[in-house]
Amino acid sequence: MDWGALHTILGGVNKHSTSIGKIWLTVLFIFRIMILVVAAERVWGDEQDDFICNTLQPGCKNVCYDHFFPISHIRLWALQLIFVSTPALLVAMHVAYRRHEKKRQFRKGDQKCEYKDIEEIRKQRFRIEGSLWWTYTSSIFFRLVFEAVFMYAFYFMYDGFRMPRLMKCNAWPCPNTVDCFVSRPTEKTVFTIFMIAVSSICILLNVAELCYLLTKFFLRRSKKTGNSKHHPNHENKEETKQNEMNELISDSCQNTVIGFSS
Amino acid sequence: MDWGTLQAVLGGVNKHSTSIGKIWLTVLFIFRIMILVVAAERVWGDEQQDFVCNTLQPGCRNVCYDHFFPISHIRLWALQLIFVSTPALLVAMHVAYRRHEKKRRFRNGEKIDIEELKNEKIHIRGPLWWTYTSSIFFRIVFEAVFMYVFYYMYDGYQMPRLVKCNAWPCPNIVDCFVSRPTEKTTFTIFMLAVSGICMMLNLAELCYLVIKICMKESRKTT
Repeated sequence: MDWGALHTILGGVNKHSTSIGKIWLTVLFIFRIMILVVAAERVWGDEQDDFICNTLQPGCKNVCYDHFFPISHIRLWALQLIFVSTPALLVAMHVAYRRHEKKRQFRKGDQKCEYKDIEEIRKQRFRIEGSLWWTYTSSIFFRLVFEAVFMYAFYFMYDGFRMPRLMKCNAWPCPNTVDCFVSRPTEKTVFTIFMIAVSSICILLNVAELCYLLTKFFLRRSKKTGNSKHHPNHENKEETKQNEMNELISDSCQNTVIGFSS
Repeated sequence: MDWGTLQAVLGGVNKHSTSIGKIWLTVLFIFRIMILVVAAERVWGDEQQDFVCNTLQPGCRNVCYDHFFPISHIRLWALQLIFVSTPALLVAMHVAYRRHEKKRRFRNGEKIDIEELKNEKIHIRGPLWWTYTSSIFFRIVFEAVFMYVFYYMYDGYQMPRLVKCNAWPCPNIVDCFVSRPTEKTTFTIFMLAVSGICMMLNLAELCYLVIKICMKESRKTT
């Protein structure tokens, strides 16, 4: 179970996302997870080995390192990425539940069910409407909350986003005050700022997606109150035809977007 | 999530590229990403462990290493490769959007064969031409920016054997010796050369696209 497995799980969610959601997912995987794995982990790899204190006192280096780095940046980023990816699973669960309900209807032989076989139910792409809209919107809201909380935790824990070269430590058993030198502080500052910047971009994308969904919802509502008095039956037939079209199309066009496949 | 995944993502873009674009992608994967992973990372692997300074002063080595190597070559190359690969995703997004539009037209009742829709190779015309051309332009810009950043940060492309350091807490001036300088210089020059080749391929592709569209325009007018 590693980042590749998370990629597979979230790739399935991609199918039911809006366009902004798909862009968010791409930014997450390429500019955050990939950068973390191929670059940042190497930069922080020797963080404790090359944390040097100007003292011969045994145990002082360990204690000072622990005092200044309660949780390493790398672990915080890994936790942030996992928490931020997880709300998308709410959407996946909701879609799976809907599919389960439709399968049940199909098996019962319900005449209202418009599907020809189970394969079609499995491959259908659900539109973001009704209860799915609420699930999707709350997942975006939780993403925003988690991103903000982790950014604040970083800021609070490390007094800003800069990595100092020198730390003065006086925790026991260090004698008086001891100078401790951090390994690769400039490179670490650069990557911290990079990850913060991409985190902010992700927050903006989530806010944009939230606004888009709210706008769509209100427009749809105003269209419904306008049309419902004129053509109630015609709408139902159109929706059925649309659903059939959706199935046929989603059968053939599943993997068109950016290589993320279900 | 590693270079293999990037390859899977970009492989999909390959279908809609020109021939020069396909060559560029091959050069990128074989001569840059693969060299980075199988060779360069080992060369730079012990860069801080074997950065040795002629002093007993604790902390001096850390500070001198940080002063002379603000960002390691390997990280700069990794960032360069990620940034240079990303514009191709703009093209992939545009193609996906076009397919979505065709699906919508199908839904509205126009007769389009679905199999044909799935396997269609979309020609680089119209707004897709603009997206594709801007993606090549951004690639060239990112390549140039990173090459300049390398030159500026390391005062050229040669790795010195010895660096003289006087950052605090080093006493006076201290001699520090870099690990594997010749090997590092060789790989730096190699990566620079391949970067140059990629830039030339991108320029050639840009010229090809511009000439193609000018010829098409002149045929239309005649």
